[in-house]
Order: sequence, then structure tokens, then C-alpha cells
Amino acid sequence: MTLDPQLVSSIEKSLAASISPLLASPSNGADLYELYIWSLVIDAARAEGASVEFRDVHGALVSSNFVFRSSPGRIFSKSQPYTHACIIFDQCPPLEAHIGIFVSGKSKVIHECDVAVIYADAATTCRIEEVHPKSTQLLLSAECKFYVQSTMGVGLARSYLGLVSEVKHSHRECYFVAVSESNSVERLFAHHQKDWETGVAPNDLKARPQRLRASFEKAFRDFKLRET
Amino acid sequence: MTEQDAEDLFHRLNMILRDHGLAWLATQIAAEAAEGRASPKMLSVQEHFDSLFLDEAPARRARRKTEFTHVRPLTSKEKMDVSIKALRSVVVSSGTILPEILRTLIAPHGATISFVSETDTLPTILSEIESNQFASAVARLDELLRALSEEVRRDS
Repeated sequence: MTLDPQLVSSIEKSLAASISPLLASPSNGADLYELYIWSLVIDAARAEGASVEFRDVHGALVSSNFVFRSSPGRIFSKSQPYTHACIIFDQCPPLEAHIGIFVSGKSKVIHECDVAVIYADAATTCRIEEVHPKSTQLLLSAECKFYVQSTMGVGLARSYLGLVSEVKHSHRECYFVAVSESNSVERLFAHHQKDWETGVAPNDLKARPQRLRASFEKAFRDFKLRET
Repeated sequence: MTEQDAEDLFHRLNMILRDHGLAWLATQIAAEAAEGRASPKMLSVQEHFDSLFLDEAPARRARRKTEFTHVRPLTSKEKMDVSIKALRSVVVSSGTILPEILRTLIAPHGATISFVSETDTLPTILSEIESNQFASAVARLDELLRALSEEVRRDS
């Protein structure tokens, strides 16, 4: 049996129509994926009872034109009105959720955090003083990977293990999140007892975005219990 | 679908990706497909003795079963599986992500999302309308990829 030429032609047309400019941008869609994981963090905070609003680097409310980083940057940068989320739990210190910001690790080396939830007072200080947040000020962070190649995944996973040793403190959560599954990456993280989730995408049939969101919810739940 | 059909289609899809600015994805798919499939293989190997630590050499060297990792190249249909899986996890998911994000942002009608680096001057901007268009396009692509996947498996 030969291949149905109609099916091939339809796939070609449909594929061409499905390629958004973000996939063809220099970040290869990675910024879109980071934004998606950030949105799961926001959803988790809301599910745990937080009120959330979106503000730019100047403190202005953002409601319709949202601007995000396409490459890692400084939390205090005013070159663009970058959007972050302000997360407020009753009787708790306010938090902020950012995408693609630099954070200073234990060794004082600067690292990129794809998704970072930090204490709002620390974020304000960083914006005024033009310094990077310290890893101790991170409540939650996520390393997000929008790749398909499994070998590259192992390399990235190894570098993530190094990152965790630099930014992870007690009562702080670090996650490795990827759009593709990779048996070797999963085995590596299971062995090293790291928090990870692969295959995370809205079209996932195994409901892994929900499982990841539940992990974020637990992090917020524990934060509330510690702070009240 | 014959092996030759699968091989041709694998290259054709990668060509389309390259023509639409997704050379990075085509490269990752080709590299993933070239990696092959690893499986354990038991082999009987001769044990080695260090004569320094033995009073006398054994008359016959012992052989024992040892597990090795064997990697075989993928068939063309397996390469098509890699391609379909990658298109679903990257292209299809990218189209489904934006509406989810807009929902989280409680974005009003006509909202936009821009991506720009600190050093860029030209942002990549996506409107709510474009987001919905891509979501419809990937829904159709997902259906077609499922049909293709069925076709690849049916004749295997």
C-alpha cells in the first residue's frame, strides 16, 4: 500500500499554516514555552487563593499589551516594559513571578532563571538598586526546555544538576520542565531525586501539566503555612 | 506505507520545516532519528586475569555473560514516528499554548503578547486573533498527524 498523496498534501499545507513567528524566532519557541510554564505557576497561585495582577518594570498595571523577554535579562532593565505577575496571598509577604531573569547563585555567579518566583520586597530592592536577585530570595524556579533531541537533553539535564546546586536552598523549589519525554533525562533526575516533569504541553494526553501545576500549588501551600 | 514512502516523507517534512524557518527543528529531528535505538545485548566474553596476582595461569580462561548496549539504526517508518512525535510536541503544542496563556492573563479582546530582548528593537508580536488562527491550524495538523501515524503503523 502506498501513501495517500492527499494526506501528504494536506499535512504540507497544514504544517505551513501552523508555524507561528515565535517558532521561527531566534529563541526557537523557547520564550513561548517559558511563558506557558510561568502561566501554570500563576494558575497554581490562584488555585491556592492568591490574587494576581500584572505589572511592568515601572509598576504600571498591564491588562492588554503584555511584553516578555525573548532572551535572559536583568530584573531592573527598563529598556522594555517587561511584564511580571504580582502574587498576593492573604497575610503573607507578596511575591512576584518573572520570566528569564538573571539570579545570583551561592557562588555569586550569575545564572539564568527561566521562571522565577521571588519575594516582592527583594524584587523592588533589585529594581531600585539595579542588582540581580539572590538565589536565597527565590521561592520557586523552573528550568524550561523546548527541545526534541534526547541526547541534547542529557547534556542539559547535567547542567541543570549543576544549576540546582547553585540556586537551591531549603524550603525552595526548583523544577526541570520539558516539552518532550526523554528516558535518560527522567532516569537521571529520578536517581538524583530532583523535581522534574517532561512531556508538559496543553495537548498532553497524560495530564502532566495538571500534575506540574499541583506541584506548584504545594509549593505555595507550604509557603503560606510557613509565613502565617 | 512502504519503507521508501516513509523515507521520502521524512525528508519532505524536514524540507518543509527548513523552508519555513524551522531549520533548528529539522536538525533536531534528523539528529534524533540518526541516533538509532539502543537495546541490551548479552555477549559471552573472556575474563582477563592479571598474571602478577596468580600463582599459575588457569588452564582455560573462563567466559561469562555480560550485558552490552547495542544500537541499531532506525527503520524509515521509525524515523517517521520520531518526526510525527516531534511535530506534535513542538509545532502542535506551540499553537495550543498561546490560548492557554491568554486565558491565564485574562486578556481582553484585541490583547497582544510581545517578545523582545533587552537589546532588540523589533519585537515579535502576536495578537489574540493570530493566536486563535494558529490554534485552529494546529488542531487540523494534529488530526492529520494522527491519521498519518495510523497509516505508518497499519502497514508495519
